[in-house]
Amino acid sequence: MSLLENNMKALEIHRSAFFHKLKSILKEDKYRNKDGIQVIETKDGNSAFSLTVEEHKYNLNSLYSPVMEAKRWSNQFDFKNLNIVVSMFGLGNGYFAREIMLKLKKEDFLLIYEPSTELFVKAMEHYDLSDLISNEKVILLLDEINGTEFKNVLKWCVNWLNLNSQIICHHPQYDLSFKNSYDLFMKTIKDNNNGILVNENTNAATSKLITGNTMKNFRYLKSCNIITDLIGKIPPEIPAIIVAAGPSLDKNIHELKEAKGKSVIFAVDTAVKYLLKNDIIPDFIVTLDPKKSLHHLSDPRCNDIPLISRIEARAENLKRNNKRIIFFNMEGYTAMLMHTVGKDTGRFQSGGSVATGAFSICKTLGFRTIILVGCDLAYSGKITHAGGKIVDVSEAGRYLETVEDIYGNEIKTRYDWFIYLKWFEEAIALLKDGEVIDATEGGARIKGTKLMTLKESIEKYCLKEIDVDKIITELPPVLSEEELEKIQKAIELDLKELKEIREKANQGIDICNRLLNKYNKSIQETESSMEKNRQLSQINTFIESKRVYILIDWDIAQDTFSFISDLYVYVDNEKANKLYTYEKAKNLYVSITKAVDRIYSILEEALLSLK
Amino acid sequence: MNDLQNRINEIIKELDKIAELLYQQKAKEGYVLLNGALGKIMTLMDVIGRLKTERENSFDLDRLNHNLKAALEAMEKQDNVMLADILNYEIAEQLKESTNL
Repeated sequence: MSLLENNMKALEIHRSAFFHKLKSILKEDKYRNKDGIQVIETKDGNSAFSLTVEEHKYNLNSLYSPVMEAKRWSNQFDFKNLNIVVSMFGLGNGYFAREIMLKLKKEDFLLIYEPSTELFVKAMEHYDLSDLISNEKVILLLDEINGTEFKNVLKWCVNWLNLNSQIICHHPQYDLSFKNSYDLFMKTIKDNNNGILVNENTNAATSKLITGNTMKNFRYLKSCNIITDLIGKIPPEIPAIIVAAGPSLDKNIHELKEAKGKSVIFAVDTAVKYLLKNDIIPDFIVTLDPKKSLHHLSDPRCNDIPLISRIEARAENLKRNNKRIIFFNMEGYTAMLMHTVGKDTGRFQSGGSVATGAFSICKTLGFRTIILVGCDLAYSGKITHAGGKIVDVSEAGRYLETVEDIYGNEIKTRYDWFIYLKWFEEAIALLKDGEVIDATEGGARIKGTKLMTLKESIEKYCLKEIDVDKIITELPPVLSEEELEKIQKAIELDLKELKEIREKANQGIDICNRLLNKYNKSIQETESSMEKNRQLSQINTFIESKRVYILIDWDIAQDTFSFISDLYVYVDNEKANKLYTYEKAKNLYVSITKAVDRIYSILEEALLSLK
Repeated sequence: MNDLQNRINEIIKELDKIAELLYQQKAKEGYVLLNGALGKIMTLMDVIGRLKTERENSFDLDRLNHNLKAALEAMEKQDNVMLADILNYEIAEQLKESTNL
């Protein structure tokens, strides 16, 4: 088998969409035998690429030892950080990329952007690239095939947490020989980084909103439930039906009428309007995005359906519900409060989407049979959602992948759906007993599911009657009177501790001022400065040990964001560095005192709403 | 003689460092060090030229001159990888061979 055949085989197995497109390109034959690219034998018996662009010759590798050159080149990069994303311009013959690939850890990624189809084809013909092709941590982008996906892949790989773990590099000489393309590559990365910073700034700004929402929603703790309250309430032989809003829902939605009263129907928020249009009332509505405006639930009938939501949801959305609010996945301060009265709020892997979250809920509640409806996780032609709705792909901005559909053919999916698909498959594989039926009647093949039509699955599994409405009506709220009182007392203690935190933060400001004064004169440590540093450490330990600190931490996220974005600013002067550190610390204490003032009033109101 | 060997070893280390910088496309830093290293090589050539014994005179100055010329050509073409290769595989190699002078 030739090197090209071997490489194409690897592509076919590991990157089928890429393979098919490259195959069509190779048929055109215009990229082979290009005179501008030469393969030169090197002194150590390997070979190097030489490229002539506009009469200028570029040796893309060492003519002595290209492998050693690549090793020494790669030594400049630090791979100690977590979740590293390496964005590399230029594949060349693979030597440099390989050295990077060998240094990647499990969670790291290597994005290789190759601007030249001619060079890529030449590399495929003369070098064994199968190790790079088959490595799942390597994302290969060829300008002519999937180059436009670079910005989408960056969005997927790079986030706030690993923004500063990025390594941006280029194959030697590629920056000169493909200057325009290189400039665009760098601009794309810069734009993505800026987008993340802006986004994080927005998120940090909304953290105050989320704290505020949570406190406002404390009023519902008197009458709400948490998901774990439903454990044991529904007979396990009753099936759960998760209704998502994929395009196939249009095909079989009418069948669900036969399932009502013989199953528990969980509708994701986007699917509710289609159900109500067909006069099918789900047993639960599931909505998980705390920032979402619930225009999907504008039908007044929604107000009488139990709502599964997060406690950080917009207060006005919960206010409309007359039936029962069931909180899902309480975290942070609220979870801590519930634990004081022995409530297990559960640990759910929401999987990133409402449908995966609903699956997680059904798994926790112990359903033996879970039936998926409208879970296409793929395009139906151009249609993305039920009702013939098309969400523009370019707007969605997702890397496209090709997967197998339920008939064994190829079908296109978005990269985020692809991730949910893999999530489902992994979650299903972990189910100890029970089965998952895919009754979508379309879309991607979800491995581990049994394929049935919705009609067949209803006939087989929806045999026993159940009155979910009665179960909910008879379900007592999560907190008894006594437990509610304990929570009230816990909040009263937290209010007291907020005042103590403010006092300590003010002490911290005072100590920082004294240290700044001292270090301005001399950076030499004295017994007094060391003692002050110890005091600061004790203050920090005190503040962070308080339960209510978690609310402060959330609240000051916007303020600390700007400090963290300066974290990698290195001033080449020890005194300036020291002064900068203590100014930063002082500002943090100031933020804490302001946060205490904000939180005190809303926590006090939350306490009143519980009484 | 120890002094000569010390000089040679020092130059070899510097050339290795320079080559590493050039392979890593840190040309500016590489050239700063190269400036110093070339000065030391010139001094070395001067010292070797004045050596009296036959063994000492076995150092091939013509070969070194030739490689320095090649290095200069690489610099003119701004081919930093070629420059690194010459420093690493030609000049440093010759100096390593000569450490038993």
